[in-house]
Amino acid sequence: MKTHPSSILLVEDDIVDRKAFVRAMKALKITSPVVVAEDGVEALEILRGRDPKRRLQRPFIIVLDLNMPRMNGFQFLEQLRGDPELSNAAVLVLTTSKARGDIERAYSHHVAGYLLKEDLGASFTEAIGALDRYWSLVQLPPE
Amino acid sequence: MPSEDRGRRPVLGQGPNAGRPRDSLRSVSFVDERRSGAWFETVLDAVEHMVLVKGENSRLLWANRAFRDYYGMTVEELEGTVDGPQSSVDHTLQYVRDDHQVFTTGRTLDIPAEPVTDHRGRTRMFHTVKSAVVRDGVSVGTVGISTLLERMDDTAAEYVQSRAVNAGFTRQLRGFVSTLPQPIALLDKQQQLVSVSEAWSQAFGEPGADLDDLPSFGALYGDRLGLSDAVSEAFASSTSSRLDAHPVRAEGGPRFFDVGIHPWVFPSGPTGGVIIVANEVTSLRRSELELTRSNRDLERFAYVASHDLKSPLHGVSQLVRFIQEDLGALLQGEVAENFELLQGRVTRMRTFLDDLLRYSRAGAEEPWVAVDLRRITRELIEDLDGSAENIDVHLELEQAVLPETGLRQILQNLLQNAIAHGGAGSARVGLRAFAEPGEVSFEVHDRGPGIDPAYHDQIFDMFQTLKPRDRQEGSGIGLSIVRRVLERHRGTVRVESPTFDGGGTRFVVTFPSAQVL
Repeated sequence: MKTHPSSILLVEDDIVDRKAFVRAMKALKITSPVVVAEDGVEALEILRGRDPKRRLQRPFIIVLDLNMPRMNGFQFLEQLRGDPELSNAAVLVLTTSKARGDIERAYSHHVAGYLLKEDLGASFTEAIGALDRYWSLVQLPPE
Repeated sequence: MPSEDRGRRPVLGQGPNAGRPRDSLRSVSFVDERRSGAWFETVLDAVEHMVLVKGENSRLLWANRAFRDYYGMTVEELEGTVDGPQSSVDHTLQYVRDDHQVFTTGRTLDIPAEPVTDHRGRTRMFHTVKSAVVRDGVSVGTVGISTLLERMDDTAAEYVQSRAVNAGFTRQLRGFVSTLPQPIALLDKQQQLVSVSEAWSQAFGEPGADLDDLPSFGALYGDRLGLSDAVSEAFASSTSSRLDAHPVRAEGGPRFFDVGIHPWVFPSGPTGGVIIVANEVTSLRRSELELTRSNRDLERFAYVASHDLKSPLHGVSQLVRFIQEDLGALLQGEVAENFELLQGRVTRMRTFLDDLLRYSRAGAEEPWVAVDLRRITRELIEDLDGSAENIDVHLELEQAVLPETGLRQILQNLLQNAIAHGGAGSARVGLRAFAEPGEVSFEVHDRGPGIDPAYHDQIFDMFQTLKPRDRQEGSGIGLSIVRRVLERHRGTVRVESPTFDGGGTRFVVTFPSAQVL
């Protein structure tokens, strides 16, 4: 029954994976507010405060899928790291891709972690639990 | 007689006083007239050695009186010809070759002795020095001075002999080359075409020029075939060079040739030129390209399969789980069982996709290195969770030169199969490595039920299994990976089931390799 000051920006195009994420949070009783972006373009708009409906409270953590339409995860990371306002944001990759090249490329953008959806087997919850432990332990970039 | 012309015609009239009236010769003194064309002519006509001036392509422009007397021709008769009518064709060819060499290289050529035939058909030996006439850094002609050899010294005699021998040798070589069944071109020292084989003409077109004229190789073939640079380099370095799968434009797509360019020498020692040997590899090259492309296609397909196909599969799996969770205790009996089966099928599908990706990556090119077999078998067995005590390892050699990654893939798949099909729990699996001359082999055997010989070919096909997957999970990719790796590295695999009703199975994999002692 922890409370988490950090909010979460979930960048994920697949509705099933978004549902899974929210279900897992519910199961773990994590109450952090979740803001959803369906691809990199939307995520950047939210992060830059250009979306009137969706506001993100600091501190926050970004949970990022890699394969998305319009702007995929890597393109998003390039934009993010190139923006002085956003370059220090904590990003966790959550993807189905276990291609070695994808993993190396993600870490070259200084992601805080790389999690495989399918590794989580039947309990996606485990991964979210791991995320939860992670962000309750680390100091996120302050406001 | 040629002497009549003396002084009349200023052929060399390119000096500053060339346009001067001819009758001034009489009124102006020899000293004042110096540097006019006529003045030079008078001087050169007084020289007792033969002086001749040639332009491009060995065309005669002017010769002094000694030369004209020897040839019995006037300047007008000589002008524009290559040689006197009395000369033998072989001699003339040699003159032309020498002129060309001087003209193109700009370097002076000292010919210790050469035969020259006079207008009465008598041949005498001359010592000739030929130099290039250069204007603005470009050869515009040649000038030769020939001195009669009263007696041949040893150097001259040797020279004449070697030239004669070489000429004979060149003729023999030319005849020999023309009959060879491979595309071959023979070039002399001046990069002129001496001979081509019939096969060369068929591959690259007829020369379209008389080879007796010694046409330039570059103009006829070199530039068109893209070989000129390589040929020039071979001449400059005097070493053989090789172009692999050299593309040549042709109707119906490019053709490919392995081309060797080799310097050749006369038996007497001097460099003769180069010989170009082409070997068509078009079909080989095409199938290589084809293979590369299909490998790339497979790799791309496998990537798509593993990502784009897995993603919806992952979604199905999630949704089934959501329903299972939400229904909880309401899910019972047959419905619950069917949901379990559904999840099982999803898992199997995921395994298929992973294995497809593994298959596409198997047998990638890699260097052969000295592999420590003790280490590699230990590591492999450690990775087979909990089966280590069931594997007897017997290594008759410790090191061999092998493709390490490929070997790992093969042994891993064979060991996994042996454990899976080896029969009941305590059944032991054997791994043996042994060497024979030029070969290194690995044997994996189990004490399971064996494989009916009727299926020994089929088991290596992709996704082939001999048991229903519900009884034994497994995609059936393992042995196709083994086969793919071996095809890449030119190895072989054979399978033996002495009595397929319980005598176990033995796989023997053999690499063309050597043991490292």
